Amino acid sequence: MIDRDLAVRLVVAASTRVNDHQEELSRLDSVAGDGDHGVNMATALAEAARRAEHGDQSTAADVMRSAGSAFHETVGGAAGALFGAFFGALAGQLSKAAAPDAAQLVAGMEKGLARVARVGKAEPGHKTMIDALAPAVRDARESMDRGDGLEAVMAAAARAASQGARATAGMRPSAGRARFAPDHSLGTEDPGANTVALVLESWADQLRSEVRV
Amino acid sequence: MSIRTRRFLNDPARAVAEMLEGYVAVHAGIISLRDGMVVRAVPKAEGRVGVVIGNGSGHEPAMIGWVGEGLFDVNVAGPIFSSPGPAAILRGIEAADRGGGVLLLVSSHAGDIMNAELAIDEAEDQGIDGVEMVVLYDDVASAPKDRITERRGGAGLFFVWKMVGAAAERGDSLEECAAVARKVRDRTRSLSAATGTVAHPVSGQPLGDPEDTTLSVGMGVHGEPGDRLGEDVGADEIAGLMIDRLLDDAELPAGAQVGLLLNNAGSLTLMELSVLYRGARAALERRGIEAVRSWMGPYATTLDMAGFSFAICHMDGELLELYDRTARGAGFTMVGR
Repeated sequence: MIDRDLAVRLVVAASTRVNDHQEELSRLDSVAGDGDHGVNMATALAEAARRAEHGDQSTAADVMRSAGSAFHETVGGAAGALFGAFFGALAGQLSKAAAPDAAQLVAGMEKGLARVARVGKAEPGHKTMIDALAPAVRDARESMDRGDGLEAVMAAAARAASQGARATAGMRPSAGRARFAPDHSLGTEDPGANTVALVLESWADQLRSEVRV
Repeated sequence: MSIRTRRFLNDPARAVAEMLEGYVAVHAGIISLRDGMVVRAVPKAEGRVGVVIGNGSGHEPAMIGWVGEGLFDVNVAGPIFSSPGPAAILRGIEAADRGGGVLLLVSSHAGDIMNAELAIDEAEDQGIDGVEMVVLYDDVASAPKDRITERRGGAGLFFVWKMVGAAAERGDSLEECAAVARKVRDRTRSLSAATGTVAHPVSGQPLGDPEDTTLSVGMGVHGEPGDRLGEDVGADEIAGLMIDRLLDDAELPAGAQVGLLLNNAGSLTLMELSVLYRGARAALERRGIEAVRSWMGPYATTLDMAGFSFAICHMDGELLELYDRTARGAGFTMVGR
């Protein structure tokens, strides 16, 4: 079950992971963007972690909603809008169950993906965060349908997100700022897709470490 | 060739907030800071349309210098090159409300549009009505003409800012102000050029390849790459090919009157700007186009980028009347004729 305290640990884990990789993310962003993606994501997640650890949220849904607000309030930009929308949708789904589990998590990720696609007006293959998120959501759903538990579902999502992020190197962008120079970023992975992969990997690792304990 | 990485700042992450404090202190009679936003020191008359914009920082004097009489009521400055989030934009909408409705102007960039749309959704959810949003674009290099709504915003939008601000100040309705915004947008075109790049003050990352100093045409206001020109192209030739491209795109007939804007993207000298302006006027004359109003200077910058953009706005009687009205901002003043 994903209770409030686990949600706090997941947000903190995501913050730590993205902070450790922020220079690499900014470097990817500098190829066709403005070179600040890593800084922005690390800043927003640090604020999300601060709110999670020191706030008065009483449920996992509240923790995720507050993380979404942190994106919308601290960094803005396209990535801030989209990650904020993802966490907001995830929170909405988690709030529907008294004791949310893998089923709510997967449904929440599906809602998050749909909202990101709507707000960002992007589809798979456009070289955006969706190219990591869509396969992650798909594999998480398959894993759950096979009867896997939370840890295995998140591990499947993380693997797919990571592969999806790697695959963006071969894509030409058709959404966001990078689309104005489509050949320029060929060979470089999309920074937003990488952030999705890092967040989901941090969640998979966190869940794995807790199972072992 | 190296790019400047050393800036005279304190903590780069605090640079935008500290810039706002300093800038507002210099221009205390014109603007003040409220809740992190730049607002007019003397609010517009009640019942008039409020005009607000949220945008990334690093483009100064855009848009902090354009708050004042005949211009914007509120500017919500986001992080460097990033739109502010929806919560901040919503606060800006509320602060701009003088009882006549609020026009939210958006320069077309993915993040700016997304956050503005989320803010409008939130305003609706909270029962705030009388808010209209117009998305603006002018950069001919960013999409072909048959997909004009996919173009991004550039320096030509200063024609929109000026004329919409004047319309709102004189008491035009929300609908009329929005119509002015769309009309000026549809009659405006811009194109940029630059050599080299700049470093992001917070991440330290260059925008693009720091070793590449080729002159390129058609880059975006965040350093998005453009097409490369040869090494030994003179100012007249560059100005000529840029003006021709703008006129072709706008399909202006001989005899048309335009406003001409030459925008300094950051670090060009007055000498270079003046030589380029001269070349642009010659190029317009060859096509039988008259530049009836001109602007030259830093309007929408990209930090201290060594570049510039040209913009033309096809004028008519209505637009000239709005253009010539008084404006008093910290970064822009026009004495009405």
